[in-house]
Amino acid sequence: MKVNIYLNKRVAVIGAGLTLFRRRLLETPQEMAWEAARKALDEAGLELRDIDCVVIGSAPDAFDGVHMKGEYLSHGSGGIRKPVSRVFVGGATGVMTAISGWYHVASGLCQRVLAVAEEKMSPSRPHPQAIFKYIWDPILEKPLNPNLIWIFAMEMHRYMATYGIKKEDIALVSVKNKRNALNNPYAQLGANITVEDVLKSEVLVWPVQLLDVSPVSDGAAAIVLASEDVARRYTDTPVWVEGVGWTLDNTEWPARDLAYARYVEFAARMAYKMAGIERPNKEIDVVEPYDPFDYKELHHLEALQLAKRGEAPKLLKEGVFDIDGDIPSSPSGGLLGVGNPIAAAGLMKVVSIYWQLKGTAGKMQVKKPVHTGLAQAWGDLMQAGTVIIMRN
Amino acid sequence: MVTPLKEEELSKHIIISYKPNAKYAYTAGQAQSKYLLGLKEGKIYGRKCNKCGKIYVPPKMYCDECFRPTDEWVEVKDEGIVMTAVASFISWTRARLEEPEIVGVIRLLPSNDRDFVYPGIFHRICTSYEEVKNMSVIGKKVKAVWKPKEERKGSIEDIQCFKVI
Amino acid sequence: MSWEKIGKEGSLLRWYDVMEADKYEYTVGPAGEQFFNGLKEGKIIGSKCPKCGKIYVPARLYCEDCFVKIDSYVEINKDEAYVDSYTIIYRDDEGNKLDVPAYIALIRFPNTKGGILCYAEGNVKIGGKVKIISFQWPLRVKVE
Repeated sequence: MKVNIYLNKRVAVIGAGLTLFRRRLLETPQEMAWEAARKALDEAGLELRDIDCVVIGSAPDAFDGVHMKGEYLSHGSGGIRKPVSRVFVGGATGVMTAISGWYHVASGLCQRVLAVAEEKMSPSRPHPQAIFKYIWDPILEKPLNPNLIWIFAMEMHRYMATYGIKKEDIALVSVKNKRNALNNPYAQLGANITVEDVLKSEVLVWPVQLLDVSPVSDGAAAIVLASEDVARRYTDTPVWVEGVGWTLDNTEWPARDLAYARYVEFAARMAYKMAGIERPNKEIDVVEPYDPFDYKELHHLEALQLAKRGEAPKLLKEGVFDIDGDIPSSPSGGLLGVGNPIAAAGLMKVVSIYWQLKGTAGKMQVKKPVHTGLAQAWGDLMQAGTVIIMRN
Repeated sequence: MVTPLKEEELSKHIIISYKPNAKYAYTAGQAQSKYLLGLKEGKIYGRKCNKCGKIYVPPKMYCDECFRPTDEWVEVKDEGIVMTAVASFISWTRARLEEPEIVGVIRLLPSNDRDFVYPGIFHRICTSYEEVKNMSVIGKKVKAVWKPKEERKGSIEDIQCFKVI
Repeated sequence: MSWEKIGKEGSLLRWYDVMEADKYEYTVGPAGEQFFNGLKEGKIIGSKCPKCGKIYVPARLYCEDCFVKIDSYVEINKDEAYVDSYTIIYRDDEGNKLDVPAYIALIRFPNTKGGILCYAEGNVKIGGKVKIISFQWPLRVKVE
């Protein structure tokens, strides 16, 4: 393992907070962001006046129903009278919020940064899924009245056809993640289900069925990042951000290989180069790939170079990705188990890796000792990939 | 701690309701205008970049890999190969449908299956649910079924669906 | 290389569509519920920060400077409200002309942080004393 000697300002995460993820919450978006931010500050031992800069991550304004959501949320994220920036890359926003917080500190501009991600999907009627209709091209695609699940179904079907993978193999991811979520106090859908339950659930858009999908949720997450000298004053166990990467690909259907996520591969390579990782499947101890659908976890594990193309289901069946396996994947329960408030979900994965590396994950802690963890998010019309690597 | 709510409990709390009013007139631009007018005539137009040889359907006035203007209009066949297909039982408002709506991505000819970027279209496919379920429709050749000339208005709805031949 | 203007401008098409949801149902949150329940009883409810003592109107769940949770809600003396600023509108939000121009005022309460936007009538001037005549939302006030 080579350490990147060009990175002269090391950045550590010193606190994290989550709210419960549920289908609908009473609190307004600002109040949810405040609760997550308060918990993160409490863990870090800081007060709001110690924070220099604030980063806010939130996905389409159309969910909460308030335009300029970054400005709206800055009240609840402690951003009043501070430099605030908002990031938005669709579903990849969660990890991008952490990356943005990282470069605020790594550039030397800020010393202590609060990064908050929040999403409230419940206000929209008739159903939050209807809002997704507006991400399609208005002239070429919207006249067909598409709904969101078509995109994932098409990618899943192509993945299954190219590598000859059966639905039973893919359903194992859903079983694993919902079982892991039973250990997570913030989770919405922890449950003990079987492959049979998945295959018998309601068919939404063949081949996607109800238990293959993560739910609509409200939730917020926050982390506090600090530069090296500040971090060592507040904690004996800072978790260092060692590598970051992000990439966007083409939104057009005919211009992407649906069976392989190359944008995630490019983002991962950028992060691996920074972190000095040459053999990911030997050097990554715990991974949180983005799993809004069960087949996406396999798709991403292959793109992250943790499995050869088409081989992730085989390794899954052998137990390599279980919580007591060689490379535990989604020990927090992932989006399938915990819930999917678009932006907060990605940051929830970063928080989960932070807890694993710090040793405070409670019942979710993986069995083997962990030193290097990776969190990944993915978004937009399936073409943005963001990756963050942390070490303790 | 935040307070989770069930749907029935929502009516016991104070809610402010609002309907947004946002109507748009999108311009199609040069490339898509000619594409839509071509659909009205029953033809599918694309743009070709002579430097890398890519044919863009739907057409674009610039090549996004070479980052230069595309050079000429070409017409592609209204036949192609199915790359992927899905059957939807839910509408865009999450209401349940009785008959599945089948859509997919079609690679239009001329192109070959080693192309990473191909002229293609995202549209409905006229086939049976069984053919989608056992994946046999993937890789089949399909041809566009056009609406009668009087009903075509210059939109992608001028093609009814792509049928297996 | 140059960009040529190919094609006739007259044949460029426009596509009409909407970007709307059916409607949104916003919850007002726990602090908001205290405020709106207060309006039903004809009271203005604010919240007081336990650390710095600032009072927020309408009631907020947390203090924006201390960032701690606020649990105490206080009734604000509504007779002391005054006009901080106002404007006159001639058209509604869709651009239709109003029959009678309307006054929109921002009213504040002394020694509190925050204010409420409402419809105003009477002798509207900056600093004018305000009497709340309707507790429906949005509020209607009369300036003396």
